[in-house]
Amino acid sequence: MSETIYEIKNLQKYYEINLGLFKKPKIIKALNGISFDVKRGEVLSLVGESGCGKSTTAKLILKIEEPTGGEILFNGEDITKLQHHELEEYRKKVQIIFQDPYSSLNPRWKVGSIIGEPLKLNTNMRDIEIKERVLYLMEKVGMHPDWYERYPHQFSGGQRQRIGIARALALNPEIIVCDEPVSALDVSIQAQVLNLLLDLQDEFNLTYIFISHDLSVVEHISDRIVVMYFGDIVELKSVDDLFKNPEADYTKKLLSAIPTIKD
Amino acid sequence: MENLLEFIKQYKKNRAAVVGFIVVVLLLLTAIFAPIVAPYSPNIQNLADRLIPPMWDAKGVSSHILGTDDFGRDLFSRIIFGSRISLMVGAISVGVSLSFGLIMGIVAAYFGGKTDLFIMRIVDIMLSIPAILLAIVIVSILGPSLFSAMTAIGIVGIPTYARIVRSSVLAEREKEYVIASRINGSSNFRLMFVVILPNCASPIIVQATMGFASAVLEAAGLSFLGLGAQPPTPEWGAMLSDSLQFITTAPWMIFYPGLAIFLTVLSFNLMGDGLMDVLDPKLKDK
Amino acid sequence: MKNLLEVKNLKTFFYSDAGVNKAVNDVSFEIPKGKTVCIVGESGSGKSITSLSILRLIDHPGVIEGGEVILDGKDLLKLSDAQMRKIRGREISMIFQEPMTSLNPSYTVGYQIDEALRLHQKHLNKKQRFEKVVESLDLVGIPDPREKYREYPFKLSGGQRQRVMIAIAMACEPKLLIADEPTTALDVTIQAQVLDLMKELQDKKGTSILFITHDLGVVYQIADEVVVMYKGHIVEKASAQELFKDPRHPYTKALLHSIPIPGVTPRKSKLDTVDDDVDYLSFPKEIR
Repeated sequence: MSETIYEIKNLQKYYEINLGLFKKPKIIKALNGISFDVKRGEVLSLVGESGCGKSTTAKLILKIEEPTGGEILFNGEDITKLQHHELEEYRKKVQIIFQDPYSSLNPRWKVGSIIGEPLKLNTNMRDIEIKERVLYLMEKVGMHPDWYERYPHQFSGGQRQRIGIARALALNPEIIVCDEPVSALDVSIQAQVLNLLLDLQDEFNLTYIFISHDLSVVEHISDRIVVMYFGDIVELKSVDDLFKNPEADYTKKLLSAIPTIKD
Repeated sequence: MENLLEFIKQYKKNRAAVVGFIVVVLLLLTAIFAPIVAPYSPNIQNLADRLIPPMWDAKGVSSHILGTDDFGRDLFSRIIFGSRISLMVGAISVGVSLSFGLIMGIVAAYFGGKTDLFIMRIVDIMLSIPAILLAIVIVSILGPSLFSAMTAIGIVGIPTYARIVRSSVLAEREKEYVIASRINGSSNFRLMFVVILPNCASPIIVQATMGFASAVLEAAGLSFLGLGAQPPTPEWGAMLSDSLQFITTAPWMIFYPGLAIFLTVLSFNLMGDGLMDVLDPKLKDK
Repeated sequence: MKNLLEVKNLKTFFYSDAGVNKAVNDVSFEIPKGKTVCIVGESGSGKSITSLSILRLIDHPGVIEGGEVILDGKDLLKLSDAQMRKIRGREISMIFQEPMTSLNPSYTVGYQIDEALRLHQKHLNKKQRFEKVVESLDLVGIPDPREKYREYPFKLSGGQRQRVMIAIAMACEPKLLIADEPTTALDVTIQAQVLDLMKELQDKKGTSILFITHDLGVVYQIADEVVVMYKGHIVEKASAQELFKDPRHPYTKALLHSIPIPGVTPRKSKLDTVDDDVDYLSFPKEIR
């Protein structure tokens, strides 16, 4: 197993906005050709403010959208060229945890179905086996087995996030993309979920790509940080390095803007 | 199912809606048990007993509660059997409108782009055709019958469902739970019908309930014009039109079928209102 | 009188079939003139309801069940609706979290600021109002205020919209500005700018600020006094300095420990969290 899971080379994503019949479409450069790598077992954070391209990067890695240019190599293979069976295999290895605990779970499905869906669609497991695995996952994320039959609206934000985490673990992925997983949560719940994520990483040998705008959180859990600004990577450093010796102006601006408590 | 209990609790708050629901259930039971409830068969003529008024009138008899019509047929029994027809008309028309409308709406909203434009233009064209005109066209092709009436009403109702379903699906389509299912490998079909559609159920249910009422009314109207049910079918609208000539001499022949239409339409609408009140706020999650 | 506003034993309850929700349950605190008081708490603490109660913006099924809110010697809870309307926007104004929805998308930015002036400064004529609007836009740091007057909200960024909100709120030079999580939805760098702006306005105009937030980092930046709320009660009250140096109530401590502080909290360590099983209300309230 190689040390590098992802090699991202010159990744570009442009969006075209149609301005009407007689005008040329406007081009929005969400990603301007960024390059970075992700090492196995690390927590790599993408930070930046709105419009920087961190969410777009996540979408491209998860194949929710296709890049306009550049390569994404997963264990050496270009994922943009994957076909059917290989695509299925890829999907099992890379999962996502969403930001909004309220819209990321199907309101009409029971918790058990939500967590079990990846298994139903991607494996040949029998229903009983799926249920067993779902209950196992629920226990791992600190959920009571009774909750299997309940609906999302019966839970709080933090609990729903746990459901989302259980779902992400279902297929035993190697990588989990965490898209602002704690931004919508209360501070105390945020701490619980972060603790959980760290525990799970240890237990299941996960690699996280962690997207956030909250530098305090990022500092706490990351190994390396990628700072993004309007589609470009401004700086890529280990956590210690970034906080002690920020080089780019934008990084310095970002660090000084964090409202933190200096005891 | 605690969801259902909560739903019932909320629904009960609206007294009118509860009344509506009860009447609808009674209607359903009447239709199902018509042969038992009705004292006579609806089409038996008894020319000796023509035009007898309802039993509380001086000239009425106890054996015909609401009197008889010009062929001596028991009005009460005809109205009872008429409920079967009205319910069938409602169910089938709504069924047709809903099935086609739903498919059109989902496909348009899910695929977007040119598919959406194309389907919605068809919907626009359908909306511009008045029901009566369409009914006349269909009737001239198929001949006047209840079947033609139901077809016309069904077709005319399609755009409403298409639009409702489309806007619901558009709203849900971008939500993260849909993306989650998509990433997990869900096929387009599954995304449309298993993932998204259950979340669009509420407005469809409300519309179907209200639509039932208007279908009944429209069928009565078409039958009244002679374009729908043909004699001797005891359809309420047809009964109205047959009885117009007796409006001064035997007003009960018009009043009671009219009352039946009125009560049916009203109770479905009240039920629909009640459903709307309960289902809508629940849509606002959090 | 060094206190601009005094809240005494405020109670606001919400009634539903499920029972009574005592959202604000016997809350008392003071807002000194020209100072910033922060109410910190998580969801369900009652912090937003407290601010809405001060402005009497509580509607069915909520009811303000008791207490006093004293502004300049008057109890706001006893005023008539008409009298209260004169207070809102003029003596006390409020800004909210979502700049996207708190501005009316159908009217220009200038019109909306002008509206505040038309309601509360009727003695000004059109030209005078125009100049005042331009002045407020300038005051909040919007470039080219004369041109921006005619812009619609959708053309502005989140940070600019929030500035416009502040301009509307400050147009009539209120004595108290209530800000309910005004920077939560903004990017970190924009947040810093907006907080600086608010401090600047406070210095210039002597406005008191009641700032509601869940972010202790923000509290550290701008608060003079801090009120910590939990499930409708105040569990700790102190000056900002005292609170951060010596937090006393277990809930306050738990809250502080659940936030990772770069350079202080050991990286990847388990964060102490607020314990669901602990009844924080059983501990004595720490009022300093």
